Amino acid sequence: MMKQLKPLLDWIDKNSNPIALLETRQILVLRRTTIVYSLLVLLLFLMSYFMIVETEDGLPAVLLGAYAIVATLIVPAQILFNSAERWSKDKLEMLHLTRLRPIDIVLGRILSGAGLLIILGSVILPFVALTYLMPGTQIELVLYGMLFTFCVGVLVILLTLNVTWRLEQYSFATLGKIFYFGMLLQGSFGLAGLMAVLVNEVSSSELTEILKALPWVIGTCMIFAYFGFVQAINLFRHVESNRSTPLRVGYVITLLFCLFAGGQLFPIKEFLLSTAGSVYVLSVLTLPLMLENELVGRNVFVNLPTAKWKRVLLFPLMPSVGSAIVFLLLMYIPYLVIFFGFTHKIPMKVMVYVLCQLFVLNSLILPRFRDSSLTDTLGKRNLVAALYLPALTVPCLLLAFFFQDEFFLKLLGTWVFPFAYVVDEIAGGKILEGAMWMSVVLTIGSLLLNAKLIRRSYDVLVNLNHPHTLHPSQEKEADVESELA
Amino acid sequence: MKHALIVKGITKRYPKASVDAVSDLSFALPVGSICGFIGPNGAGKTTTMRICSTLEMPDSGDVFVGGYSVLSHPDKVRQQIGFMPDAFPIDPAVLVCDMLEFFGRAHGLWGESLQQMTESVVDFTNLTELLQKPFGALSKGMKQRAALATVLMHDPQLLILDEPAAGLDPRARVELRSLLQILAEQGKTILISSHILAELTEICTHAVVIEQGCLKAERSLVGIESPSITEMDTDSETPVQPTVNLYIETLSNVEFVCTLLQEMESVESAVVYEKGVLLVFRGDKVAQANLLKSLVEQNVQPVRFVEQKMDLEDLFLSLTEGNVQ
Repeated sequence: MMKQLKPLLDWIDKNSNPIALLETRQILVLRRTTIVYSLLVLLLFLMSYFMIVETEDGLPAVLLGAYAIVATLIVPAQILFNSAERWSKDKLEMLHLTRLRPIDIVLGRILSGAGLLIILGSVILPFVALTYLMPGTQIELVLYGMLFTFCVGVLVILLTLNVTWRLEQYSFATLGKIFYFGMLLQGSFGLAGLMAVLVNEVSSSELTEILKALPWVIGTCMIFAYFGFVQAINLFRHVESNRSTPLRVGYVITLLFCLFAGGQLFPIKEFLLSTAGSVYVLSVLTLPLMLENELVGRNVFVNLPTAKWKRVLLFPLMPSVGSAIVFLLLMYIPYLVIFFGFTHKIPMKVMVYVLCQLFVLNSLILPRFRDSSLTDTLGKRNLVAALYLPALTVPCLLLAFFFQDEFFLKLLGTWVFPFAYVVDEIAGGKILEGAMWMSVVLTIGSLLLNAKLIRRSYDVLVNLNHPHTLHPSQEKEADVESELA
Repeated sequence: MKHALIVKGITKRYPKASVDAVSDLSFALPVGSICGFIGPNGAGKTTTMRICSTLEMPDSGDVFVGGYSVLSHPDKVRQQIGFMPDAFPIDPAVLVCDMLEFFGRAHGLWGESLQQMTESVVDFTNLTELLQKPFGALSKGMKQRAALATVLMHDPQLLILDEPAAGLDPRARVELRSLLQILAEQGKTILISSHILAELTEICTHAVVIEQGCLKAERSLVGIESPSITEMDTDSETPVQPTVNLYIETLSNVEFVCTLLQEMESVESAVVYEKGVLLVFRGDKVAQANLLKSLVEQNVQPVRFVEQKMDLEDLFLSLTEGNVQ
């Protein structure tokens, strides 16, 4: 029997993630883990006993709530206060000298977190079986709820990994951890409450409607998980690596997903909701286009394609300031394509206009104010870019709500979509054509204004002419030893 | 001569810094050498070591480890180096055996190869009795031995050790020294920085002195061939002369003799030391005899003419004008 299993055991031995192994081993020997596990069993036993014997009501909601708290509070807190210290910056640096890739480091930590989630979650499983005994329980709902909670739990684990790593960099690490723990506490109880409402209040007909939205919810979760994963890998990357292509690809996928989901889910009558949603989503989404090093560093040379034609083709996806702009231009192409396909829906136009404004703000206006004390650093410009639309929309929406007056909404509309109104007048009611022309004009304007920047990036990334140094391949590595002989 | 490490004109300036941490630094280490890397605090030793270890990127220049560039082949460089920072970052709660297994697996070892390498490293560093202890429970000397063991788990050819002897008691220092000497005998090259110069003198075959990010000297301490990087760039057909450290004591005015020596072509540097002159001389025994003859012809009265191993402390003091950290 053991002989037959040997290839499998060897495969596991060879491919096991060292970080997951070490972390899980450390977590299991912690007294804290044993105490939490035992307390959970005891608590759930007492609660289910009283609920079944005394009231015969609410057990599934309690179980889902407990699971939500385990997934989004206990496990992340364990990561926050324990493994963060184990893998602080200097410790991670030692991992960079091994064969572990950044993706292995992230996967190892996620696996150990998910392992703990499964270990603690297994406490709840025997109690879930009890829900079959409860009359009127929608077991599908309980299972979907558990799936959703697990997805959210993994997201929170990813977020916690990022947060703990960043907190280690600052002097307020302890205070930051306490704040973050408070947020986890609040969020987990919020999720637990949501689960309780879902199980107790939702009827069978409503459940069918909710399940229709489930793929979109899971899709959204997956997109967030993707970004969490990519961000985490970026945090653990080697010094020579500064590739942001996965992030940009992620943003294109997200934009397409939002457009498609928006078109499918939001009817025109819910104009305000979709406007607010798209404004929020796009203001967040376009922010990372600014998250680039201002100068093209020497390290961009590492692993660049050797063939020039490949570099020419990949130029828009290479890391630099200019490429961000060109990439934004590329983003317009699918946008415009979709625009023609779905133009009859107002939210699509809203998104195009909003994107145009952010495009102008990010790539044309803000970089021109590098000498101002308000925008002299990349961080400050990111903040301005991030705050621009929320700062415009939130006060207008609040004023409109309190005064029950459409004036504030019109004010907002005139400010956010002035081009649309102007072009609408000029084009004689042909808003669609106007919007398209506006996009084209803005894109060309941006390219002209940033031509120098783009040309410099092209020169470095495609022609390999760095302002300070030569490309390593030009230094004739092979000749060094013969030179020395 | 085969070189394990070639540092070629590296420059590094950190963001917001007004001066370069390392400026156009070049030196090379022959295979199997132990090189003492010395300089005052803030001289750029750690930055250089981190660049050699691929933990930092140089702004310009390059470093070659085993012929591979840290810029274009960082992955291959990482397989060849073992870097031990001044404070080895190991979780105090982790057992020594767990950490060895972890680093072994992280370097791609598994199954029997992992077991064999662990046994070999544990045996070499004499850690058998400490395997089941957590790192936090070890003394400083034991921790350094354990750290060295983790660094050796992938059998690197170049060891980069940043202040490994700091905080060690005399016994632990002797242990560490003997371990490093055995590793050098096995053909491994070691770049070691330390504040305890006397300690380095005992084990080092080479010394590289830097100050304010610039190279002050690159010397052989045992008279073996050690061409500097500038010499390496010269025509390869010219035979490279060995460098030796000579001490000449005379009855004549020491300052005058020192000036005289400094003007000679085969003398790389000469400094007044106690009652004589300490110089770095390039040439064989015949050239040494000619030097002595030339001095006598110029009415210098030598009473002592010896080839000696340079004391690092003297070298460092003479080069940095007594600016010890």
